[in-house]
Order: sequence, then C-alpha cells, then structure tokens
Amino acid sequence: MKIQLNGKSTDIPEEVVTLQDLIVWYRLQDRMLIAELNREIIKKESYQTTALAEKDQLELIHFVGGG
Amino acid sequence: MLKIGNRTFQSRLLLGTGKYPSYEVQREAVAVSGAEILTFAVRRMNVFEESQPNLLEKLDLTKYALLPNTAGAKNAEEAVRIAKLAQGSGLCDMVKVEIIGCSKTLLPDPVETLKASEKLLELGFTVLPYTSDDVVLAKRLEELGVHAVMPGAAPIGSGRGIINPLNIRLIIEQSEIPVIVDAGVGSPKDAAFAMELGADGVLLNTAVSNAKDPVKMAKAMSMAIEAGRLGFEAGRMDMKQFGEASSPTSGLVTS
Repeated sequence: MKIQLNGKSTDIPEEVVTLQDLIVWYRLQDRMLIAELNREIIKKESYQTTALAEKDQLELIHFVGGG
Repeated sequence: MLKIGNRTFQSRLLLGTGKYPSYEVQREAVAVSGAEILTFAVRRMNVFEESQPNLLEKLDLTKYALLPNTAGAKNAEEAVRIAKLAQGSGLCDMVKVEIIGCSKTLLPDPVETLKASEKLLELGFTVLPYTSDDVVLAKRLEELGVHAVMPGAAPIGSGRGIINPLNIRLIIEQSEIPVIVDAGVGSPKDAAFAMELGADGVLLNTAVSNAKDPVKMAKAMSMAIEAGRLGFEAGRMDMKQFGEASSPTSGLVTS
C-alpha cells in the first residue's frame, strides 16, 4: 500500500494495517507525536482502531525548538 | 504577576527554545532563566532517518506552560491548522500566532494575523498574536478578544532592541490586556527598557541562544526583566534640563 507520509509517497508493508502499527513500524511509539490523517487529527486512543488506506495523507508531527 | 487568559505566572520572561548549541546548554539556560512559558515550533517528524532527541522529552513538562508558535504559516488558514496540530498534543491550549508576511524582514502579516486570531478565538484557543508595533493593529486585536498582544521590538533574530519605543509605549498605554514585547531583543538593556516602558513581559530566544554563554545570558535577561519591572512600578524621577545637586546647598564649609 502506498500512502503519502509527511509529504512523501511511501510504500508501507502489508503487516501495517492501523495507524498504531505504522507508529510501531517506525519505532515512534515512545515519542511525543501528533498524527493528522487526511487533515483530521487522530486522538491517541484511536490509533489502534484507525485503519490506513491507499492514498491516505498522513502527517506525523512533533514540537521542535522555536521562538 | 503576569496573567494570561486564566493562568498566572510569576516570571515575566517567555523563553524560546530554538538554536541552542546543545540540549544540555538549553536545559540549563531554561532552568536559570526562571521562565514558566516556553515557545516551540510545530514540524513534521523526520520519520525516514534516525531520529533526533526531541526537546520535549528532555524537559519536565509539568513545570512549564507550552506556547507553540505557528511559524512557517504564510496565511491564516495555515496558522489555524498548525495551532490545531499543536493542540492535538494534548499539552497546550495557548498559541502564538506568527504569520510572516515578508521573507526578508520576517515582519508579520497584519491582515492574516488578525484573521487567524479571530478564527482561533472562535475555536477556544488562548491567543497571543505576534504583531508589528502598529498601535491601531494592537487595538484591533484587543477588540477581537486576544489574551495578550505581542508587538515586536525589531525584526525576529535581529537583536536590534526596541526600534520604536514611542509605539511600544502607546500600545502599552492603550492596552487592557498584557503586552509582551516579542522578537528583536538583543541584550539585557533592551529587555529592561521594554519593562520600564511598562510591558507585562518579554519573549526572546536568539538573544539567549546565540549569546557566547547562553546560560549566563538567560540569568542576565531574567534579572533585567525583573529590574525593569521594579523600575516601572517604582516610577522614575523626572528628567531635568540642568544639574541639581544631591548634597545640601546650605552649611557649606567653604563659605
């Protein structure tokens, strides 16, 4: 399946079904992050039940230093 | 005491978290600054490469109020999206509206800032717009209901200090909400000056992070802001044209 991840067309493996799977796949499960799927912010408690689909636009966002 | 929305703060220094030489220096600078409000930017994670340590994981978040900015937004719509993303962290409800209208000077876009502030207020955010030192714009933002107005001293990162003290003073005098001088502060003198003009707080970043010793400068800024505030509250003496002796003019031993 191909999705748009942080602006980049990305192939994701078959075993990645949900948003939670993808976060674990990229080893981000212990990081502070914000997920936006097709312009909707997904709450953490819904990661497990949010299935990814072809052509989804996913943004994984965090805070960085800034003024 | 600085009151923004329904929160109160002892410190009048709001500190940015960008451009420090290392996380260790940053953590130490934040600690000695006494700042209770820290600003951040919202960015995509670098998911495709080995991840960098995240600043937020290095700080005890319970000790700070987080003020994410909308830097990178070029219009109101983008700023609102960034603010929503920041709120999605579940860590903050305040937002610094920052919409750059000119890539050379980094001066804010007044029209888009006004639009974004209005929308974010509708959405229930605690809204702190970074604006130019325009007196009427500050008033218009206050009328919208923003929780503080943050006029720039000088362009972001320029370190030039308060370029138009008259405008900053006029904004402070007309304002019934906190006025935080944001951007362009270069030295402790500039921060003290802002506070002597009656500002409720100062937001700065590069002045500390680009100092030769950021930790020492963080302390200096903290002291300057406190001194400036005390000076403002004390009320300075009137300026005079000529000299006026401090010692008695009677009982002189030489007459």
